[in-house]
Amino acid sequence: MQLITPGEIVSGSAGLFGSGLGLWPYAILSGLALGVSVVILAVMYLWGTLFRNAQMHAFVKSEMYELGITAIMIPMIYGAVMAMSTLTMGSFVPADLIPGTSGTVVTNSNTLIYDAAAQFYQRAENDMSGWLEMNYIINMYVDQIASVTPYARPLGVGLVASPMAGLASPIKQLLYQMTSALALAFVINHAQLVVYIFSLQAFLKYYLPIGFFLRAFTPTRRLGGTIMGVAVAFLFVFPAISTITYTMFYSPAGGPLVTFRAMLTQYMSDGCDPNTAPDQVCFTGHFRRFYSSNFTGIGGSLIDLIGGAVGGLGSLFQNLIGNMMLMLMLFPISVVSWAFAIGFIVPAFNVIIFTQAAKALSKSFGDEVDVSSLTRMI
Amino acid sequence: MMKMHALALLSIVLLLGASAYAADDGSLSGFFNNTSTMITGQGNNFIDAAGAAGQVAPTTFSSVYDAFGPGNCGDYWISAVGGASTIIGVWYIPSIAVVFIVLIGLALVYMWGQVFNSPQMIALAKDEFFQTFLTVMRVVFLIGMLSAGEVWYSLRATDTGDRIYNNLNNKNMIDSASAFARMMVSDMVQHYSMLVMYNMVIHTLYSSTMWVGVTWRAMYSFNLGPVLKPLIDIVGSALQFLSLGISEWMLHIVTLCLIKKWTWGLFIPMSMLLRAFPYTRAAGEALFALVFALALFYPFMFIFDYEVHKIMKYNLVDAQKAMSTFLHKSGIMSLFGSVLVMMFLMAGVFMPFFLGGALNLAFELIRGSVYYIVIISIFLPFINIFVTLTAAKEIANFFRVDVNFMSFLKII
Amino acid sequence: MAFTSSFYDDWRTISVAAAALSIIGSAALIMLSRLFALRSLEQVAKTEFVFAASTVLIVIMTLGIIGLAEPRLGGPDNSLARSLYLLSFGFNCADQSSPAYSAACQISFTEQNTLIDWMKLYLATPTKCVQQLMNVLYALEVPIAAMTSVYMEIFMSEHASGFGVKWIEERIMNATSSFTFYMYIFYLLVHMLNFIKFYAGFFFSIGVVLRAFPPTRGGGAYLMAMAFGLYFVFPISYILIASLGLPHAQSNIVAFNATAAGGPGYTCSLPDVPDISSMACGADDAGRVMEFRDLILANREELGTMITLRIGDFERNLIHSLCIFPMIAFVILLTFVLNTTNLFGGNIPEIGRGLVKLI
Repeated sequence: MQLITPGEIVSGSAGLFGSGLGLWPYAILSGLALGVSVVILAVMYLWGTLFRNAQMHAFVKSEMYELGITAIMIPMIYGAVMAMSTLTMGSFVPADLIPGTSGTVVTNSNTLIYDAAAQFYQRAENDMSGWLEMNYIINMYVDQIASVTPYARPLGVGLVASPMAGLASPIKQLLYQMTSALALAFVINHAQLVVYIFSLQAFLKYYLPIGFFLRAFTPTRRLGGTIMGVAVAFLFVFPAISTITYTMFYSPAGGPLVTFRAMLTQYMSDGCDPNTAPDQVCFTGHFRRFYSSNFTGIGGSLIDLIGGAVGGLGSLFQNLIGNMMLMLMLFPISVVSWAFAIGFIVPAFNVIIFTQAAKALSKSFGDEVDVSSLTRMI
Repeated sequence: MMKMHALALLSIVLLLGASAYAADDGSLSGFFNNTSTMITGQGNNFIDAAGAAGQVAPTTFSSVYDAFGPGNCGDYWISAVGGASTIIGVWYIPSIAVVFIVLIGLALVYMWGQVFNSPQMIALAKDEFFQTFLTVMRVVFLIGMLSAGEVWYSLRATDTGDRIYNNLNNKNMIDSASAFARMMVSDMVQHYSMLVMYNMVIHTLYSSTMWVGVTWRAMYSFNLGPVLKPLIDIVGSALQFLSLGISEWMLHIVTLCLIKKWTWGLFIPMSMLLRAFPYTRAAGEALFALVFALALFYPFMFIFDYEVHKIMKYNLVDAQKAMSTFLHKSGIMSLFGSVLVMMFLMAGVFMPFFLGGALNLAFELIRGSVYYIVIISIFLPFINIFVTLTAAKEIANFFRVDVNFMSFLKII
Repeated sequence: MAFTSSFYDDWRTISVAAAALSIIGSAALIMLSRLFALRSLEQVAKTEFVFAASTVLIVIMTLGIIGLAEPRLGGPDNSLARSLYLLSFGFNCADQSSPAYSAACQISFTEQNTLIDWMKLYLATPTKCVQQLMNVLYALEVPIAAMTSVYMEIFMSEHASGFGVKWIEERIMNATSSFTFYMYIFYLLVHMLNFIKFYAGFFFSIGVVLRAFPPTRGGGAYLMAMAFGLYFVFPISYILIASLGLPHAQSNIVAFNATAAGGPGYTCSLPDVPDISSMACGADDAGRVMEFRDLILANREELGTMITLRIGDFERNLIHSLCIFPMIAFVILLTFVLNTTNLFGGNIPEIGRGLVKLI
């Protein structure tokens, strides 16, 4: 099932919920609610004058002040909402830092920031899928190596050993950690994408118009203000944070994940032949040679191991692994780190900033809402 | 029965003895030497590497350690992100423009207050003018403190003969902090590699099964593994924790690069912008305090860690030398497979090698692993984060903002 | 090494300088408040002056303890720790006429210059035997493991048997696992103690600086108390407990040997691996197998005692040295820190509340 794009939500072309306008017709009634509130406050003022109640006067004055603020705030926020479809990457990100195109994910200066925020999660998802596939292939190779068991049993008598297991089993452990970390990071990343798209749709089409109406009406002013504050946080703060994170990690001018991808491409390519250039490190060439050799190249090493010195292990290792050892150790560790960074640390950081922003905005517009419990998701 | 045992043993020796001298007993040492030389060389290149000059991302890589590379951090603070003109053009000018708009608005409020004789509005306008002035002073204060920190660092680091401080590629304190983080990754990878090599040799013996009998009809098999199982377990758990430590230090490298790249490029303009409005002033103060702590205290704590490491590493053995000694001097290269099994059973030549060399080496490697895992990867990073966040909190308190950064500790 | 040696300019210099600066600062504040006739500020300045003066006294006291008392408590010669250590072996070095006096009293402990060094010596004493005992266990395990893993196939039927020695193998495996854990703990403690030894002074000086400012006074007091406690109170508590709780003379693990390699004055008295290198000759002779078997049978009493009693005894020794005694010393340390922090002007409930959130 294809997720709706944020651009479609923002531009109002999504028709999932009938007219696609959501509850915006209620926002139109805010003007009426303002008028009714003025009338109510006027009656209260008269009451206070009649019974010479200074507290009532003070209350009415403060509520009138809040009504004035509401009257200013609603058009401002409405204007910002109307301008959402014009907020592009080029508006506030330098051209050097716009992440650019990768596969089916196209990001340029005309991309809406709402689409760009979703593209960050999609691009991270694509990268993590690629790493999982790479992990599977490396695991096949390492597993084959680990299970090499020469049988030195002429006439049934002799020695059976697995010399490669000692080298390959720690690497298998690393690959297993890589799989676990990536799986969790993938789920968290996709969950963020789904929550983001849901929040755009829900807050833009439903919660924000409701908030307008409730804030315009005196008895529900605080509740409406709170809803507006949280809606503004979801509609403006969260996409901004996500877009900035996208820029930081994927900028073409040396973003860390761009550099990492370039490095993986270089080392995982089949651009080198271990026969002719043994000092070069490239996995695919080595991998292909490993499976096409029918062990002819390493057969001599096995004979050495069976009948020869323990020192003969070296030629076995050299033929099966060679100078791939460092790469096989470092790549899984580095991928685990990136999975940690993208799947745990960056979301944690963003959630903390978002909850602080939501708290502050809801406090400014209405009543403070305790969204700090969201940090328990971390 | 005894005659059958003797016959089996004799047949093994006769069948395999002829090939005893056909083996290459130098290939394992050759593999070890080549691998450790490669690891050391690439590690040194990684530690000494410059942040990529200019604004171009690296396109070719000469070291596998670049898997831990954080991308392009730039040479200087201000030039890390597309150059000064890009930052000023895109983010500083709008921030300053917003500040001017706010100032104009405040001027209007002030005039309105004078016209309508409203002391509250006048006081509000004056307070907001003062806050805007404070914003400028904050930035000047930050520039001053960062410059003072860099001057202190450059005075201390000059002509110390230290590999990191005297590397011309490490121009700032944060560059040296990143170099130290790279050094830790390199040291831990070297240690990890030696543990893997050791595991490789020990596991070969561990997985050996000796078959004795009369040609498939009646066979005895002996596992030689259990005697080495505790060593395998020790080494395995050390490897697991060490790999997590290496991952953690990679994150430190990335964090330092992000701090260097985005402090002046994003965080400072954003804090100025947030501070311009009363509603977001507290957020701007909090961000400012955090950025100040991350830009000044966090790299300094890494320098402190480096000084700690320089003293405490003298308690550790050089893992490569110890492993090399073990492989070359223990005599294991000279044994051939089947006789090795005999030695196991007879507890002959093998025993002095094993007891004298393997156990010592195992404990030395584990001693080093405990140091890298506990001290370098847990204790010191905790102190770094704690001091940084405490400094941020106290700076925010000084500017009369109460912030709680402790939720960031959950990330740990 | 220049950066290292002058990294923090010696904790003494920083502590004294910070204390002096706080005195000067508060004195200047008093003068300023009198000049402008600000009574409230004068009160505050006088309070700050008192705190600054107390900081100076604390720094002087600490310098005095470190300079004068430390050599007498933990120095290499004629110190309390040295006497306790030798006393734990049963040597009374104070009275030359005593029969318990030994030539061992003349030994020089050149590497033990601080209380932490003595504590490491106490920790290292039993752990030195770990490797020796593991050598014995591994030597024993070779034939035991082989016998345990014998698997027989005879004419398409299979019969597995451990020849009744699996219990010995399990005992050996459990023992080696325990010893490995204790070695981990030992290395962990040694690394932490080395860190404290080199950097307690630095953190003390940071505490002095923090104590000079009212907002961070509590934290500074806590840091000062913790640094002093870790450097002095923790190791001396451990040494006293270890000397009283499990003197080396009462254990059959170590014996004093003034010329022992690897450690000043002690050697492991656990059984060593018998020299079997001569058996390498003619190792392919089946008769050698029987000789080895006879060797085991001849020493079965000693081997049995070691497997059943001595391993347990040794583990008890390790648990005491590496787990229980450090824990008791840590409790004493925390009690010291609790009282001293309040003495230095901190408020533990306020600090503790914040620190508890970190955990």
